[in-house]
Amino acid sequence: MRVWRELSHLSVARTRNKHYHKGRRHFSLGLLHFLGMLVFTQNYFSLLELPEQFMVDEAALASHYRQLQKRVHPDKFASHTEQEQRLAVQFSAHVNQAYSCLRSPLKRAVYLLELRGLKGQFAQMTIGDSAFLLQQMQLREDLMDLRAAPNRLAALEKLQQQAQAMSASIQAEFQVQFNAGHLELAQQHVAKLHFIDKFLADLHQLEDQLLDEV
Amino acid sequence: MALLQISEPGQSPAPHTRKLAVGIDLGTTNSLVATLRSGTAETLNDAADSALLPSVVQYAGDGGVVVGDQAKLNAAGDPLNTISSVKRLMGRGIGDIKSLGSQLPYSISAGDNGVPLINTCAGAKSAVEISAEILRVLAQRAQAALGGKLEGCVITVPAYFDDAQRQATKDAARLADLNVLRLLNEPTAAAVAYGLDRAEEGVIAVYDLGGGTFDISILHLSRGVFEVLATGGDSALGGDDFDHAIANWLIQAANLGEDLTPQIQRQLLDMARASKEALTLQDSVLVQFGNFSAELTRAQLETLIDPLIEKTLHACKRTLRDAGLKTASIDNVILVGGSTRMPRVRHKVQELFNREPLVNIDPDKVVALGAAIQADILVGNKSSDSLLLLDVIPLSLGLETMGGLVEKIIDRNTTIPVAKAQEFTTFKDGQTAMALHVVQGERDLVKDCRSLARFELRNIPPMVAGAAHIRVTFQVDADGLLSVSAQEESSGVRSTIVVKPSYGLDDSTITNMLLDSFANAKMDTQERALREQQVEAERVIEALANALEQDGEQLLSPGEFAALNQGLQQLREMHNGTDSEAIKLAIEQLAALSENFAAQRMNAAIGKALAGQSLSDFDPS
Repeated sequence: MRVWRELSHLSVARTRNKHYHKGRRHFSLGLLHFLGMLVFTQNYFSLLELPEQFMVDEAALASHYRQLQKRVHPDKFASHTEQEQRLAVQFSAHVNQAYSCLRSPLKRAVYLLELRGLKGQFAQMTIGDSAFLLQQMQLREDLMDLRAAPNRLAALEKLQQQAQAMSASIQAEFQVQFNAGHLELAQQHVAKLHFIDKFLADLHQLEDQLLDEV
Repeated sequence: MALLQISEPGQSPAPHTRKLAVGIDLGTTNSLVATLRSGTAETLNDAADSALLPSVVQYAGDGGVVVGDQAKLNAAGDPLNTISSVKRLMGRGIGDIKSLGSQLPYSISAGDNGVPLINTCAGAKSAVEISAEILRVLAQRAQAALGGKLEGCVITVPAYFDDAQRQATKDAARLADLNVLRLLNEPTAAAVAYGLDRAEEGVIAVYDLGGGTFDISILHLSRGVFEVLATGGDSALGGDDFDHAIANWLIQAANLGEDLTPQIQRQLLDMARASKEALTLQDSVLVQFGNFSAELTRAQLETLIDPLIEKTLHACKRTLRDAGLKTASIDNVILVGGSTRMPRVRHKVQELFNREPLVNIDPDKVVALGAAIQADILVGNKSSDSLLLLDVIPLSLGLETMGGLVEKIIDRNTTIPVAKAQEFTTFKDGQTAMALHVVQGERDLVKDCRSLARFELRNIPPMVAGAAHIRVTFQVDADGLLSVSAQEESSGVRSTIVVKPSYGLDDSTITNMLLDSFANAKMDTQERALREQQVEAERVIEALANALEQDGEQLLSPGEFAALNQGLQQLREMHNGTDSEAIKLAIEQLAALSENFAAQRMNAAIGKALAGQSLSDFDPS
């Protein structure tokens, strides 16, 4: 590993930084100021040529992503100057980030709310839906009981499907509220999606452990 | 009679001649070099027409170095000075080596930064130096065959190699004076070798069991784009372990006891390997050692190695799950690595994937052939439109937080290149420094992960606890190599970074080694530095001249265009001079001058991609 000593050109992840809008003349402050305006300020949806909405045509997303990477990937600049190579790494990383955001329903929902100016900590938000919370407690209990189940992997898969089905129906509700412009309600569904996402991640980890024990 | 053409002095007769580039498979057991000739990838063979160079290095008493077949023959007679399977030590710390235990018949001591050194009659040698010897021989072989200096190479590494192991490989190339265009994951290279001929669409699994490492990669192929969905493996599991299992059986069966000399250990391992290979074709083999003699059957062999094969199958299942796929979704299985010649391995893999694996390309050569195809594209001989490789990082990257816990910054199987940032804050009022510990691995506790480096941020402006916003950015490039940077956001103050790699060689050690090796080559270091700068200048001149020719007039104002051309001309004039510092300075100045142009060119490239109709015309597949 090498640590960059030059710190001016580092924060590729700062995609919507206000500084990027301050004019093209400040090259001395780092190329990202310039490039930020050109590509890093592009909304992920327009970058990947998709309509700005929750429903995503996955095949079109994957295809547009591959076409874009064919242009910007560092391999395309291997015989170019060093600056171009460095920029290509940053561009390509940015495109990867956009793709990974739009591919995940949860990240996509959070991103859409952010684009509407809502930057809450959705994961920490209080959920007012007590039926949902009871359901979650039940899921957690099932997870605890799983270790004692006779066929643990099969039980785990069942639980997984159950959680995925819940996730799908919450996504559908999010879409309805978001399209209707009820952003406050849409936020609640994002908070719920965080819950289920965390649950699925814990299941995944448990599956790792179970597979190791076999 | 045709007239002979003679070009004007100083002008290149053929500005777009083919550049020499090779693919190198730096293997645990054998290494190979391959190149593209008339559109076909082929290995470059030695005088005896053998493609495989055994990865064995012998340091002779007279200061000479023997690499390859001869060294392999000498190994049993001179075990302490003859190093084989050095790849297993790449990027490893002395602690890791201890855990490999008595399996290594060498005398090992600890160097700086916990780098293990093998004591030989030619002095203490690191894995990086030993690997560089192998690379030098391959480079010489390639240069002799191709008749010129290599412009660049692609070196393959196991997909499961961590950052330290990748960095060590790159350091070895630097020591061998090779320009590395890309580190390429071995399974991906194999897929390229197969995929181009067939223009495959679909999902393939690459099962790569080499001498010392195991990789499994699941790739999605679509119109020349190779997208790795998930990768897994074990960077310390391979055919060598089969040999050790057989040798241990032999030690027990023959009652040889525990205190074996390095010579005997080497002989036993050689015998184990020979028996293993014989059992690929025969059902049983007679094993003789001293007065002991016994028959080893294929069934017995299977009992010995099945637990090891099970480990690989387990990794396959996990990787499939990471890719979100079931075995039924796999369209093709490719076998790579010498160990996949074993009938038992083939049988088990076929059983798991329920499909007969592809073996039509020699499993020993397929990786080098794929690397050669990629090298040819990267060096610029071929339009790069035909092929794109999107690889992933094999292991999660994170930082140590309070209580020895790991905060993951980038998850495993994330497509590279990738950049992610995370904010941290101070713990105490007035705190001006912060220690960061970078680790790689999947476990929650730091002690269970691999330590990559520690660094300190200094000169943080004093503030109340929690007020500082330290933004730490991890960037992984297309080689899978990590760089870390940090900045205090609220004040904009850049913090100083002091790095201490956990294992591996720091820059100054490498520089000293380079100087040493140049001294050995009886080349003046000054002269060396000059030539390096001249070569670099030539590279810059060519890249910039091409860029200016293509886009200069469209993208630049007449003033900027003239200024760049003038800068270019100045570098051209001075690059054959004798002052290396002056050339270096001129390169840096020209680089600064062309930053704007580089940005515009990149933007134009993106602009084309964003133009709209071009993308929408493609089928959504």
